[in-house]
Amino acid sequence: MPKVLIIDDNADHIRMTGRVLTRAGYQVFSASDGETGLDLAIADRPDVILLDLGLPDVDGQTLVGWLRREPVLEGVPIVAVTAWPDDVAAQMVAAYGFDGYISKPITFANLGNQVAAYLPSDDA
Amino acid sequence: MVQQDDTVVQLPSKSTGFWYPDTDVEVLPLPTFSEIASTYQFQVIPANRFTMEQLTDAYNQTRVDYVVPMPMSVARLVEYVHVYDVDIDRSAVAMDGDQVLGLGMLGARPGCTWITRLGVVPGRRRRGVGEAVLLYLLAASEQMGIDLTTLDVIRGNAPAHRLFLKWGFHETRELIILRRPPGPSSTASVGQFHWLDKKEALKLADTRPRPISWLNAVSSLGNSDHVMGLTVTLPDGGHGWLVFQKKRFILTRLTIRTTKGDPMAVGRALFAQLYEKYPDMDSNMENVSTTNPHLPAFFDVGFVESFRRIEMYRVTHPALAHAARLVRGNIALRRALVVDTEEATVFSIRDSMKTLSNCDITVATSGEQAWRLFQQQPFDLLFADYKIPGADGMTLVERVRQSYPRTSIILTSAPGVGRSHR
Repeated sequence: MPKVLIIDDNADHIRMTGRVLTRAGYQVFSASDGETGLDLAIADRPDVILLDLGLPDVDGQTLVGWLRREPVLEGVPIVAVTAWPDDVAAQMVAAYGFDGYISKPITFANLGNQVAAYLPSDDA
Repeated sequence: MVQQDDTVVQLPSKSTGFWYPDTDVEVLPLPTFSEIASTYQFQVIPANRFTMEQLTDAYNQTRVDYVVPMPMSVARLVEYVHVYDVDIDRSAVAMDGDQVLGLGMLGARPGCTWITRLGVVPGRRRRGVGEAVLLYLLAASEQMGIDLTTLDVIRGNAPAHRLFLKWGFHETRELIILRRPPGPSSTASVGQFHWLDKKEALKLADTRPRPISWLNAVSSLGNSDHVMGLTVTLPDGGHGWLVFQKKRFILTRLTIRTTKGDPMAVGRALFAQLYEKYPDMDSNMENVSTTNPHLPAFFDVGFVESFRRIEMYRVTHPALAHAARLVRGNIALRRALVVDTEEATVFSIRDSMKTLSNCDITVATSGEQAWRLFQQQPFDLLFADYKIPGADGMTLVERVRQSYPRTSIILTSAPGVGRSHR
């Protein structure tokens, strides 16, 4: 069962996204700030990280840099979750080295497939 | 045309080189605190009745659906309040029973207030909450005797923008928020560099042309830790400096000024040196004006645009409104003289002018004193009260107009014209 780490400061978002992904066959764990997210990711390597860009301690752009510097997380896809307009999101995601982004508001019917797209095909 | 002692006085017009208080800066009269309290179905409460934890939670609730939510932790809000001189006693929270509806904060510095973090909880919008909080903050500014209030609204937030226009704010500039991921500059660092400590950096930062965004004002830099700077002299003689704050993971408040030469070349050299020293630091720069000549250097070194804000000013003293127009019209104002007998007016104009322009402000309390100062060294701008003793205001104005026709003159009061909002 692929593991998804959700890093998002909004408890409602975590609950709803988590519920949808659990139903789609993922094991979900979460953090509500950047530092906790980093610690969790290192302690229990996820298969994909969904990273909200607006966090109360560090923002998603800074956090992706921290995550990328951790050898244990090498190869883990990091996906930004953002309400930026597409052109800004695409530019920001490319500049900061995310693997991609999922636009807010999230379409829950598609979320499982959107996350699966970042996993090796035999994992999803 | 106004009347004084039953005699019709022909006031000089703009074409004759000076301005007098008029009504075009008249803004809607502000309600008092008690009127605000009785107008709305909900309460607007001073923010000092809440803990920082409660304010952080309230703020985060208002932002939850923003494109750029910028949530805060308690520590971050405490830092924000400190760095930006937010006056919690004059900030406000709108409540319906025990439910938070919205909030707004007021930064306060000499001669200027700043409205920030104004937001309404989703589901409670379009019901006057934002307006009530805004009016509370403006009433608090007025109570402090401040005639200049600024704010930045995220571009595209049409309801907020309309609200601010309704209450007398004018757009001044469009500002860009930029980010840059870690990494060295691709340009070689060429030139002679000199690193500056905070004190030296602040001194340079104070020479920047006004207006300066509240976020990057000298006071904000002064209130921030780990502020430093860098100067460069290029092989071709170009010269400039960079002032910035080095936070734990991020470089921020990156302010560049070119004192000689090409801003692109100066900016590029400064950034090359900066990222040679700090290649692993993320960077964030808020509120760069779209007309900033160093903007191409930001993009050149890898900054990308996050979003934009519209900066808006609300000027309630007519004389200041005219001065703001002069500043916007790029009229060179190096030295200004304020002649007024009312201390509050003098201080208000002096302090607000420091926000609006770079000119040195001298104060005189009589027409004779003002005239002596003028004869020693003329001023570019004169604020004169027609009621001042000695040579009366109009006499002083006539003398200055005849002897120093290049001086711009603004009457801080005129017969029959008072302060616009008092």
